[in-house]
Parts: sequence; C-alpha cells; structure tokens
Amino acid sequence: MTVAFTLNNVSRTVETEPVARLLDVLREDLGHTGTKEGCGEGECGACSIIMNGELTNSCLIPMAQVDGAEIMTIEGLRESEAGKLIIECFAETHAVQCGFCTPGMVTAVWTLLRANPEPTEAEIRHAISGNICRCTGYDMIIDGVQLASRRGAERGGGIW
Amino acid sequence: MSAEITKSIPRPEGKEKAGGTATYIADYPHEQALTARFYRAPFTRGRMSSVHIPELPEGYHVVDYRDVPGENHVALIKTDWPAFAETEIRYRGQIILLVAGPDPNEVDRILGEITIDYEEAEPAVTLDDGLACTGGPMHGEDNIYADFTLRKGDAEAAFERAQRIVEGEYTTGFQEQLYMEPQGLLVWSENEGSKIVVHGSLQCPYYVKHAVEDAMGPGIEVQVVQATTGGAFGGKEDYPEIMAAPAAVAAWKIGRPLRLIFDRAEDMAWTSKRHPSRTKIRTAHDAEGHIIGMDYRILLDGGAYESYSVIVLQRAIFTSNGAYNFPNVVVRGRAVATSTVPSGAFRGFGAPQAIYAMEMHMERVAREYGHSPLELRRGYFLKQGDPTITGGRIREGVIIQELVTKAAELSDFEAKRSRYAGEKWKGIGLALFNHGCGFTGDGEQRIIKAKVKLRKDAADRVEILSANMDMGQGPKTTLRKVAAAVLGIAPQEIGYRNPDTDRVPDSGPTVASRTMMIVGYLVQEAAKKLKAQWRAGEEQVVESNYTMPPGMEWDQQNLTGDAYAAYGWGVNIVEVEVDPVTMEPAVTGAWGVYDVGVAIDELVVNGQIQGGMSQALGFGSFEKLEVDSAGVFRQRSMADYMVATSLDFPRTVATTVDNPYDYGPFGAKGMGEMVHNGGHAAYCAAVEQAVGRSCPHVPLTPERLLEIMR
Repeated sequence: MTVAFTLNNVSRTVETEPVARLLDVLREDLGHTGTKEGCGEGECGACSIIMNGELTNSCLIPMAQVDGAEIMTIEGLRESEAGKLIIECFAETHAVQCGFCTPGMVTAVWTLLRANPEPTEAEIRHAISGNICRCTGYDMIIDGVQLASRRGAERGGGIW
Repeated sequence: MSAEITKSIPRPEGKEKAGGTATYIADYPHEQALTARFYRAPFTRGRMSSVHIPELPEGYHVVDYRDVPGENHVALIKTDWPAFAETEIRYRGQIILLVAGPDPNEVDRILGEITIDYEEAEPAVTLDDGLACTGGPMHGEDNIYADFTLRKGDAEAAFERAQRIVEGEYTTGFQEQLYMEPQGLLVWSENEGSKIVVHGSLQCPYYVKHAVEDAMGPGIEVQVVQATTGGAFGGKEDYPEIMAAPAAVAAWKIGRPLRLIFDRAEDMAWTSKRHPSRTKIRTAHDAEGHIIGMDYRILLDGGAYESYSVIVLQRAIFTSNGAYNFPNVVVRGRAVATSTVPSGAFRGFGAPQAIYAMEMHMERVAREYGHSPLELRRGYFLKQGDPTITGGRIREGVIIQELVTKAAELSDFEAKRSRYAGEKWKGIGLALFNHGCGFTGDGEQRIIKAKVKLRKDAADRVEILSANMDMGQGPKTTLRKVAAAVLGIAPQEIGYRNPDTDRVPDSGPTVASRTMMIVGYLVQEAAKKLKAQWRAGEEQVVESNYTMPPGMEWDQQNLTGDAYAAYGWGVNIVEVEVDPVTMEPAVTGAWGVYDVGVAIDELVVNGQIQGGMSQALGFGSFEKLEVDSAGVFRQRSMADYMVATSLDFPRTVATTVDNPYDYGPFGAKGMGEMVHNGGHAAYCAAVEQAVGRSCPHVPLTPERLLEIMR
C-alpha cells in the first residue's frame, strides 16, 4: 500500500506492506537509524518515536496505522533547540553510557518536558519508565533531565 | 575525591550517541549483505546422523562443518566447542548450520524446512544431574571442568578444636546480561578470499581475530573492527567468537558479505549467562565465638562447553574470602558440565557468586552469636601485608575501615539497624567485598602482553591506539583524560577511535577490571614518553609494554602467590521495607562507597557504581532465569525477564575515598566489575532483618520469600 505521512515535519510517501513495522520502514527504507530495536515487542522503549504527539514504540506500529500521521524521530528532535539542549545535558551529566537506549530516552524526555517543563523526580521517573536503560541505574538520566529543565527555565521556558 | 583529574568532563561520545548518529552494527549500510541465521539443534543432547536440506532457491546458501577450511572449533581457552556441530549435540540451540540469502523471510522459510535425524540421550540439566553424570559424562569422565583446592593454615585442625560450627548453603541463579543492543556482526571476505573482515558489537577484537584465524586456517588474514557497542557486561566477551567463527567460514565460502544480527528472543535464548552457583560454608568458632577456621565449597554450573568456566571458577575461589583475613581456610571450587547453554562472562566473573555466599554467611554468624553484623566484620578485615588465600600478600594499603565507617555514616546504618530490630518488615543490610584488578596472577605478563601506542601526526594531533573499547563504561572519557593530563592538552583533542586490529596493537581484551589500571597505566607511560620526545610538526609513534609490578610472584601450576597486583574495595548498604501481604520488598535506600585508587572521572565512576547497584539489586530480587527439563530458559523475552525500570530502585548514594595505587594511572585501580559484587548480598541481608528469617538464595523473589515465611 501507499502510506503518506509527515516525518520530522516533511511529507513522505512510501510503498510498503500494511503490516510492515514503522521501525523497519524508518530504519531500512528511510535510513533513519537513530531509532533502535532493543526487543521488538514494546518492552524496552529503544524504538521510541513521537506519533501524533504521543510517545510510541515504533516496533508495535504497522504502517497501515501511519497513513496521515505526524511522526517525529530523533533525527528531527536533534535539530530542534529543545532536542539539542537535552542531548547536551545528557552528555554533561553522563546520562549516556552505552547509548543504545539514549535516542529513545531523549525522545521520552522531549515529550515530557514539552508537557511539563519543570517535572518532579517522581514525574521524571514515571515519564521514562517505559524506556529501559541497563547501564546507568537511571540516576544520571534523571540528573540530565533536571539539568535540561533548569537550563530551559533559565532561557525563559519558551524552548519547549 | 581530591585529585584534579577526578573532576568530570562531558562524555566525548555522548552527543553522537544521544542524537542517534553513532553507528551500531545494525545501523551499518547493508544493501550488499545477505541475511545470515543459524540453524540450531532442536533437541538437547545426543547424536545427529543426517541433515535434510530443502531445495535451495538461487542465491541462498547453507554452510556446515564440512566447509570449515581451518579447525572446526571456537578457540576460547580450550577448543572443545565446535564452530558447527558435526554429530554430537550437547545443548538445545547448539549451532549446526548457517543459512544465508537476500530475503530474511525466505531464510526463515528454509530454516523451518530443514530436518535432521538424531538419537537423543538423557540430558543433565541441573548441577546435581551434572555431578551425577546423568546420561553418562559429557566432559571427561566426571563432568568436572575444573576442581581446585586452596589452603591457608590448617583448617582440619581448627575444626577439630572448634567449640561450635556454623554452617549454611547459599545459591545464586542464572543472570542475563541484557545489554540493550543484541549481538550482531557484519562479516565479509576480501582479496579473493585471502582476507576476512569482521565488524561487530564486541569487547575483545583480538579474541575474535584469534578465533576466526583458527577456523580459517593459515594463509587467511583476519581484521576485526569494533562497532559502537550498546552494552556488553561480559556478554560480548566470549559470544562474538561463537558467532564469528561460523560466520567467517560462511562469508568466505559464499563470497558475499553476511549480516548476522540477533533479535532479542534469539539473544536471550542462546547466548551465555552468569554461572549459577551453590556454595556450602562451614566456619569453626572458638569459645568466644571467633572464627578460627573456614571450609568453603563452591560449585558453578558451567553448561555444555567449557568456555570460560575454569577462569570464572578461579576468580570465584580467589575472591571467596572477600575482604577478610580468616586463619585456617580450605576452599574447594568445582565447575560442572550440564546440558544448558554454556555459561560465560558476566560483570564480576564469579565474584558476585562467591561474595554472596561469604557475606550471607557473615550475616548468619552475626545472627547466631547476636553480634552487630558490622562489628563482627570489623574483626576480620584484611590489611596491608596480610596473607591471601593463595599464599600471596595484600600489597596495597587497605582502607576498608574508612570505607565502612563512611558508608555507615552516610546511611545511618547502626541507628537504623537497631531501630529496625523493633520494627518488623523493615531492614538494613550491608556487604563488603574486594575485586582483583586485571588478569589473574601473571596472566597479564604471560598471556596478554599488552601494548599501547600513541601516534602524533604532523599537525600534532595525538591518537590513542589501543584494542580496548568503550561499551558504555567510559574509557573514551577516561583514557583520553589520562593521555591529555600528561600531555597538557584538552581530552577532547585526543583521538580515540573504535579499535581495528589492522590499526591498533593488542592491548588485551576489555574485561577483568583491567582497562583503567593496566591499559590506562600504559597510556600514561606512553604519554610520558611522547612528551619527553615531542617534536612539533613531526609524525611520531611511541609504544609502551606491560611489565609486572616489582615483587609480584605467581605460580600458575599450583595457583599460589599474588593472585592480583591490586584490588578495588567496596561497601554496599541497602535498606528495604517488605510488604507484609505480598512479600514484595521495596528498596528504600542504597549506598556504595568505594576505593578505586583514584577516580579518573567522578561521573564515570559514580555511573558504574549506580548502574552496578541496579544490576546487582535486580540479580538479588527479580531477575529470575530458570531452565526447563530440556535445559531451555523459561524466560524468553523482556516481558518475562525483568530488569530494573526507573520506578524500581531509589538513587544510589555513590562515593569514593582516595587511595592512590603506584602502578595505576594517576593512582587509579579497576572498578567496573566490583560494583556488581555486593548489592544483592546487602539486599538479602536487609530482607533477612525485615522478615527475621534466613534468605540464602538469589533471586529472592516475592514467591520465594512467601515460601520462606510459610
């Protein structure tokens, strides 16, 4: 089938099977390899993208559902001021170790801070609870989110 | 944390990882590559007589042991594990064939239509089955990969004069590394088959190179390049070799690049896990209750091939006495063959099992005598000059007293311990441990012979040439800082690419808590040389080579002498509250205080402490991995096998106390593994106080705790 959608604010059309996974189309057909496959069953969050404003596991989304959707991936987020700030804060606080979960984690944090620019630690923990990190124990990821939140506020909050 | 070098810098590779531009193996372009998958044994144990392959469409290939140009084995420590099974099958899932072709769905169809004729034998699934040689021995005459005994003083005499003996049995289960990035390789042949190139997610480029060289035979050159690696924790120490040997043979025979990327189910089902253990400890006590002797016996479940079981067992027995100097000790360790996936490397490498038993036994002794667990331990701490279990000496100054005091202060341990004695369902527990840095004994000198080079180009840009890699644990930050601090340039200016065996010397594997202490020291030495010889505008290369610290002695035949040149030391404290209805313990506090020599980067070190605590607490509580009667893991997905989410554990209060080591860079020692040595023991100690019962098994799931409470 032909699927038309916007990817990082650009209109795209792909020819694909209706049951093809969005994750595979992003990675294999469109070369967007920033989104990772960790488990392929919606448990780990490494494949997190934003679909119509919602944090979504792209491994669970058949392309039939993508027609007309707005999709944002790390390739788009990293170009935004908000994305750049989160990425910079993650590097600074060592929220990144092996890095495999990190694009998905950045995506989850971007979604959180847009909705709630000054989250509590409990709200941060809840927002990233669908994204598994095996390296950090999450402490420094939380530090990274808090740093991004503070710097965002210092810039007047409009960044989100 | 006083040293200037300890002050943290942003992770140099942090932005490319966070922004999704770092290239992991599955991200490599692969238009030209065929998809490769293994056909695996559909039964647990026995012999194959014939294999039936369906008619292959054009462009599809099947490769087996007859295609191996060199030796049909995977060269690990031994060579007992075949690259492709020939007739004997020792575990369900053993690699028999490799199927490759352009369409993954077609490859799967072919895999589904392959059948084999075989005769099944009775598997030996459990440790007891292995010991009993159920179905006949599969390894040697007794299924024992190794059987070592260490003696210090006269344990028999101590037990004869003992006034009382305290004994216990302690067990630990399988544990899955669950690195977030599954295993993967891209393999091709070049120059009309005279060269094999392997790119992959791997810890030890030279180990993979040696394994592929053995499988390919003489005359075929091998290059191994590490792709950005999404976590490993030991799981990418041995397993990439298991994949690379057959994959290299297949790529060479087919003449096309092969892409061999596991999905999570394949990775969880068939890659190596932490060795399960069962340890019996007896301590002999005098009339005052002092420990005057110990008998420590540990069994490790090695699985179906030897792999690293012998050295995991050595690490376990050398670490068995933990932070203590007991007189009159006998330690016996055995690694047993069973019909499961061969057990392998996992952060700690036998030490988390050995320390668990030792620390849970200390808790038992404290309970039996009504002592404070902290005060009881203080009576036995190792100090500089003390004899080790292998007849060597502790060479460094030991600051375990300071670590314990600091951890107790930070956590308010003594006050909480007293208070919770009167508050049911609350508990606080501790665990102490050390971890030898680097390879055992003279292994660094005799086997590894590490080399590091620094290259400076004509524009005066410096690059580290080392085979050691960053799997998340931080050498791209810390090794750069070491070189930069010596040379007086910014760490970000130092080049450090993912290792490529065509470019870098063999500085050894990225394992055994050796990267900072051993390789970092070589980087420091090379940087000093380069600084002394610096000629601006000229290309220069300097090299440094490992030598044993003076005075260190080791007899590999008898396993006597200084097992390790230096140790990292740590104290973990864990606080819990148990739900009296569901028996679910909630961790309410976690502390880790460490002697890492000098931290080369505070956040790198604290990140290891916190991440290690999270894995150890998971190992202690909900990381349950069991085998069924066919030796197959029951937990098959991330929905079945739980690891910590952001909601499971609180922050770990992490800190270090400086204790510079003369032969480490800027005083640093190793630390990446020991952060997994004690969290699970401290957790169980806390639960024991909360419920007032002995809890000598991990994982200590709520179901198991309910059984204990019944």
